[in-house]
Order: sequence, then structure tokens, then C-alpha cells
Amino acid sequence: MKIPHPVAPAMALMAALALTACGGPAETNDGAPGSNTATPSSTAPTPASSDATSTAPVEPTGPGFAVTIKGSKVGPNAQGVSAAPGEAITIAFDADRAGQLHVHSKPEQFVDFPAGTSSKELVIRTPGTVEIEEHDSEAVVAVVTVK
Amino acid sequence: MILAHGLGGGSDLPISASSAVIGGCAALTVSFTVLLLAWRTPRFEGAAGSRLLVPKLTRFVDATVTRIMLRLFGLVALGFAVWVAAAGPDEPSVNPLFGMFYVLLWVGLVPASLALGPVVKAVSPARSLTFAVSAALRIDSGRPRVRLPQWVGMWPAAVGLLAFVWTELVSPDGSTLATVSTWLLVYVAAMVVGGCLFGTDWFEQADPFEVYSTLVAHLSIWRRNTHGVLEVVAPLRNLAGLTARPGLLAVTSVLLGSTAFDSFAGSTTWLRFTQSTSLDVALLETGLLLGVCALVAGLFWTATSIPARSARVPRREMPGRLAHSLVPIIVGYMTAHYLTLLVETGQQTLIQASDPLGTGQNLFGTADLQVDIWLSLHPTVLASIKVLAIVIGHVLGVIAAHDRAITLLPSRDHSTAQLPLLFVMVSYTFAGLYLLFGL
Repeated sequence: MKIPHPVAPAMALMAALALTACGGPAETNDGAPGSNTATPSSTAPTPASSDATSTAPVEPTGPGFAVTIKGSKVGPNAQGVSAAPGEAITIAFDADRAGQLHVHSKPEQFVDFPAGTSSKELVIRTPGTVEIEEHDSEAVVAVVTVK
Repeated sequence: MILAHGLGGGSDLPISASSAVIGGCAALTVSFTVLLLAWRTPRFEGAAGSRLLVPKLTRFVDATVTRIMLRLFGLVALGFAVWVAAAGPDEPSVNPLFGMFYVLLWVGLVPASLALGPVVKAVSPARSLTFAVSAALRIDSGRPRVRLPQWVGMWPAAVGLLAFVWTELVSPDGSTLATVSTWLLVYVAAMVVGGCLFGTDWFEQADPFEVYSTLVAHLSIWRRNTHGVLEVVAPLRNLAGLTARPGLLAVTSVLLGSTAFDSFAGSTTWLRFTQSTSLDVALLETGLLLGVCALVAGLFWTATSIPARSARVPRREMPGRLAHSLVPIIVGYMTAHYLTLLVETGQQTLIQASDPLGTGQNLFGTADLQVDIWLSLHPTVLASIKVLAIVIGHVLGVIAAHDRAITLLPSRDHSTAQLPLLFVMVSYTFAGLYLLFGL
């Protein structure tokens, strides 16, 4: 579910360079949910879709993304998603606490999610670039291009 | 603020984004060549030229009733802002203060000044309050108590503009009530104290909104002749009449550089980086904002002062004498960058203004209106407007610079001495389109 983002390759390169320059185990995940929550051990299954099957047995065909919250780690990191106005966007949750997503569409929308795994649908009717923010951490988990 | 910037991007253009960028740069180069060959005498300098005087309109604009109404409008707007800041919720989706400050004032002053002239000067509540305070203190507000040295020029406004764009684009608390209220309080205090000390010149040198508005008003068709009568002139002739004060290049560079910074910092790539770094993002963005403004200024300064050995004015005066050519570029860039914001968030603000406290009021009868998102629904139109605005702005900038350059340079140097500036303008166009459409 990696959506190509209309971003300048040079800018991506710049950001990538900056990321490597800061040395730490920075997350360069560009859409792969769960990779930033990977434990140091190598036992974690690499394809994120394999554990997503437990929450959503039928892989949704429409747009969507998966939110993971483990302690202070919130992902994904501003995953790019494209959707048509009025199209349902599937959001899968795997969280160790309850919380709320703020959808900065016009008008604003809020998606509550419980602790544990769950799934919600979101519909944005107004075209635009809409940031979806996890409220408590203020982390932008997805940027939806609605058009 | 979370704003919808992404619509009308490169993929929405009727032509490919790279064609738009190449076409834009080519348009500039061709215009310059045509200018070199066909435009050998200055056309916009001096007071001469065909003019249309409008004495009736002048009488109406200068009538005491009009003046008082305009001042009242400014004071009522400020009063409303103070009220919603004090009583409204700290929530941008309810409180109209944020939209009033960042959209209606900051972005709205561009089309208003372009259409009507120096509107901020006419309505400025900072000026009105200063008149009131100086009257109460029995100070003659026309005569400064302290004279500002010549070199100060428009530098205070450049600092004020930088403070504004920093608050809007960098400050992590830019969309909190406390920040906006504090900003407005400091602004009004600085204007009133400065106005009482330095006289009314202070507003023309230090009020960021008035300086910005008056700058853009120099691209309007309205100008006053030496007798104070309004006349209709070609926008570029009006622009040539802009006084080159110290700090003018700083003002134009902050306006242009901050918009470029906003384009970059609004990208998802930058967002992902800021969310995954352990560095201090606000500090990083502050450095980047200053860097972009300094780069815009540095390029312009270098391109205009280095080849100016043969110029008829001292070399250090050249950048200031040509800085007016950045004004159409700023207007073009602002149009491209903030059009949807002004039209759609502007409407949203007017809707929120009717129910500013979120209590179900309908003060102006607009509370139940819906935002008309025609622009968002027509991304191709939007993308085309963006490209045209950037390219037209730069072509006008090249014309304004050329017209000034031929008065300052001996004819043998017209082409060679202007090449560095052409190069800089082409790089501004390239960077502007690149940042907007992310090739």
C-alpha cells in the first residue's frame, strides 16, 4: 500500500541525507506500517501485511492505512494516501491505548479508537490535502490527497 | 495552522510540470531578449506620461466622512479581534481570530492593496490609536519628538515581517490564542510608542502590514500626483515611483523568502523528516527560514551590485534601486501560493466570525453558510493560475528591472550588466515553480 508521492526526488534525497546525517536509528519508513515499532530482535515478521490479516481478514481494496501505537511510538510517519471525495478510507488500528485521530478536513472530523486492534472507516468529502493527526502525540500519521 | 496547500499541484496541470517550469524560464529569457532589442529608453521613470486625473474620486476618498468610516472599520476590526481573543475558545476551527490574522489580514491585504491602493494605511488601527494617545498626551503626532537616522529606513518593517512569518510558519504555538494575542499586543504597543516618538513616518517604516500593503499598492493603478490628486497610471509606472529606502531589499526578501520557505516546509517530505528527527525542529526551521530569506537577498544583492562598476550611482545603492522589481514577483508568488487559502479559509473565517465563541450566535448572518469550494473542485484551473501568476510576476519584474537598469547603466553595458540579474530572476522562477509543483 505504498502510494507514490508527488515529491521532488531531490527533496527526498535531501531529507534522506539529513536523516542519515543525524546518525540515530531514524525511521525512514515511507508507508510500511509497523516498521518503526520493530523490536531489536530479528523475530519480528517483516511483511506488515501478515499481522494485519488478524484484524482485517479480507484485504481492503480501497485506500487505507494502519496506525500503530506502542508506548510513545506512533506510526506511520505521515503516510501518503490518495482517495476520491466521498470514498471510504479504511484505518486499521493496533494500539496499546485508546485515542483519537484528528482529521483536518473541512469540516474537521474525529475518529476515536480503542486500545487493541480495531478498524474504522473515514470519508472525506472536500477535496484537498488533509493531514490526519494522532491527538495525544500530535503526530501526523497520514496525509490524504483527496481529489 | 493546517492548511490545504496540496491542491492544484503538478499533476493537475494541463501540461506536464517540467514543461511548465521550462516554459516559465524560457518566457523570462525571451522577454529579456525582446527588452534588450526593443526597449532602449526608460518608459516608467519620472512624472511624465499619459495620465488620467480623477479629482472627483480624490474628493470622495479624502472626505472627512470617508476617512472616519475607514478608521472606524479598522478600529472595529481590532476591537472584534480583542473580544474574540479574550472571550473565544482556543480552537482555530471555532475562533475566527486565527483566520482574521493569518488569512484575511496577511493574505487579504495583497488583493485589496492591488485593487484599491494603500488600504492598510487608510484603515490602520495602529495609526488611529496613536492619534488618540498622542492627542491625550498633547503630543503633535505630525512632528517627531525623536528623529530616526536615515539608515534605519524600512529595517524595522523587515524585522516585523520576519516576526510575523516566524510566528505563522515556524512557531510551534502559532495557532494558539496566547501566541496570536501576544503578537498583536506587542505589535500595537510597538506601533503606538514608536508613533508617539518618531511621528507618522514610523508607520511607513515599521508597520509590517502597512509597509507590505503600500509596497503592493505600488502595483495598483492608483497614484497621487505632486498636488495630492489621485491619478490613474500604468502599474509599472506606479511601481517605478517606489522610494528606495534602506531596508527595502530586506523587506522584499523576507516576503519572497518566507513564501518559498512555506512551500518547502509544507511538503510531506519535510513533515516526515521533522517527525523522525531528534533535532530541535523549531530551531532548524528558524535557521532555514532565515537562510532562505538571506539567500534571496544575497543573490539579488550580488547580481545587482557586482556588475555595477559603470553605473551612474554608487554601487551599494544599486540593489535598493532595483529592489522594486521584486514586488510583482512577490505578488505572483503570493497569488500562486495562497489563492485557495484566501478564498476558502477566508470564507470559513467569515462564517466563524458570526459565531466567534461557538455558542450558536449568528452576528452577521453568515453562520449557516457553507464554504464554496469551486477552486478546489477545479484543480486544473488552479494549477494554471499558479503557473501564470508566477510567470507573469517574473516577466513584470524583468521589465521593471530593465526599465530602471537602462537609466542607471551606460548603454554599452545594458546587456552584460543585466545578465546576472536575469540569471537570478530565472532561478527565482525555477525555484518558485519547483517548490509549488514538486517535479
